[in-house]
Amino acid sequence: MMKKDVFVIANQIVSALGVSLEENMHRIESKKTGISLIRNQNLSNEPLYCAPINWTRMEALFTEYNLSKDYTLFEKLMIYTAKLTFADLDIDLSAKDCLFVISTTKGNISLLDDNLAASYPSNRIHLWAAAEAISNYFGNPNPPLIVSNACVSGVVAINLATSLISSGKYKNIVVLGGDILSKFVISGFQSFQSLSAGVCKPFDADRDGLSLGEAAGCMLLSSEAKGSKIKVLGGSTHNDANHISGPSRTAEGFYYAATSAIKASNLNISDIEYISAHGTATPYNDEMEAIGIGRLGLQKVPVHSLKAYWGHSLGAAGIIESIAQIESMRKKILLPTLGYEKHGVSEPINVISNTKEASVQYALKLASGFSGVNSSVVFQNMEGKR
Amino acid sequence: MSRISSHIRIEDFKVWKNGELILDYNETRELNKFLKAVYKLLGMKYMKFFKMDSLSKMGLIGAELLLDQNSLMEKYKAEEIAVVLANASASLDVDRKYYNTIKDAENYFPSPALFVYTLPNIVLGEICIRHGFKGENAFFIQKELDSDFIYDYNEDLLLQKDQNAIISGWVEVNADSYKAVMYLIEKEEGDIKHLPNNIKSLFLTQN
Repeated sequence: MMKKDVFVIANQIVSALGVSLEENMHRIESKKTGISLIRNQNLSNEPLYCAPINWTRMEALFTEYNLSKDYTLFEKLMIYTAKLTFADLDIDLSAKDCLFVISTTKGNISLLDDNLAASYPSNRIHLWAAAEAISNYFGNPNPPLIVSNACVSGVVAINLATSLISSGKYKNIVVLGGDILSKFVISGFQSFQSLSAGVCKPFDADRDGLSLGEAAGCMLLSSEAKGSKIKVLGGSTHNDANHISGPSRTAEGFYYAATSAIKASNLNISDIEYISAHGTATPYNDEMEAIGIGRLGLQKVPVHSLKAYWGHSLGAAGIIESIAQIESMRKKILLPTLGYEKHGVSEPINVISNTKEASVQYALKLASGFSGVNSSVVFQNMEGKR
Repeated sequence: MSRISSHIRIEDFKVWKNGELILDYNETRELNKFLKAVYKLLGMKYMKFFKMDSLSKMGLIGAELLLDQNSLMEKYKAEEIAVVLANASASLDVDRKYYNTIKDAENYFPSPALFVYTLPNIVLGEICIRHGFKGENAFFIQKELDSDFIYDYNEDLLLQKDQNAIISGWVEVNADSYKAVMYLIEKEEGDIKHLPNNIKSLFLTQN
């Protein structure tokens, strides 16, 4: 069976860095963080460095878009981000060959609060009900697919959508990922003692943990190029079989996920020219990724982590970081790692410190997460040159 | 043509293996005591089991029942053995338990041991760690099992992603309601053809 090509047609991001792809890219290119010290008892008992969305600005935009009180904050963010993505496109979202793939870890978890839950149908705490509310808003006739695979969810969602389009089952797929900050998630990471005391510092010698954030990202994939020069080639997800809350010291799952993704893309490892790491800035994660990049023999290939801009946005992370990588390939630049000053991992990997010009054809996106799971996906810019 | 080489069902305080009732538990109506009884029946010695939430316990026991004497690791490479599961309620059962440790300011004791289970895909990791499987992993949330979708997804893993065996199925826990229907797919071995209708019938069988 002839596999179809999968093109990236349109992308959008809503985050602490801004309410459009342009705002987000501009802030990253000029190395401006969205993380700041927040004092909000609804989120954390103690002051906390994190990257919250400007909800005052969002509420005004929700009103402008007529997003009613029938939707939760999470759903409104997801719907708004998707609407932004489709704004200038001629796409029939109500077609049978169009599908929504939703990536989230905690969705409407805030509805565990009885006072808040009282305003919504009782099933709305379920991820499938939140996803249905979102896809129904756009009049899509298919039950949405929901991926909930911890921190790798976004990359798994892109890979799932890619295989559903390449096999010919769907023509257009909306990959929509998001998570919002909650006391639930923040208290959990605090109890794990995995949060940084400041803005996180990926791959740096003084890194001391991750920063949390919130965001939504939307990527429209299609079997029709519609002028796009960016393709998703292939991806994979493998388990370390080592520990549910810490990575393998030998980057087992990482290595299998990366090599399988490259193989599925019909490429050689040496074809990879640009890497977007998971780079949470926890001591173990970044060291594991450096070891994994070493095992691949890609120490010289430029690599970045974008966690010091957005924080770790869980179900959104894999999607917004892929979007930023793709957009930078389109603009023929490499995005810098904020917070990286002194090399702090055992392998001499080539961490990008400042925005630089480069034309790249093949790029690898990586993600790792709780459960010992690792995901990767390969993107191609058909206009990129070695 | 890929095949289903074994299947199990855990429901109503009963356990079936390949269609045969192997445990009818009457002692209590508590899920965790029932799961512990299955653990004992299987002769398992795995202390980590007692730290797990109910979803992971049920998935782990389901995998143990499926594998039994079938040593996949002798037949296939670790990275060729996948785990693909789905359910309706994600990790909501343990989410509620964790939330109870943080909702009152006077009684605020967030537990990392509970928090780590507040992701539905942790059960995949628990199964992989127990057996050493390093293959493909995915956890999907669906209102009810979409057997056509899960069939297509798993066939793609076998045909396009170099996977040789897949532990798949449904593992759901939400307060007092629970159900596991799991099956092992292998490329060559097994009596049942791996087809969407045959997956559906594993859910419907009342024996």
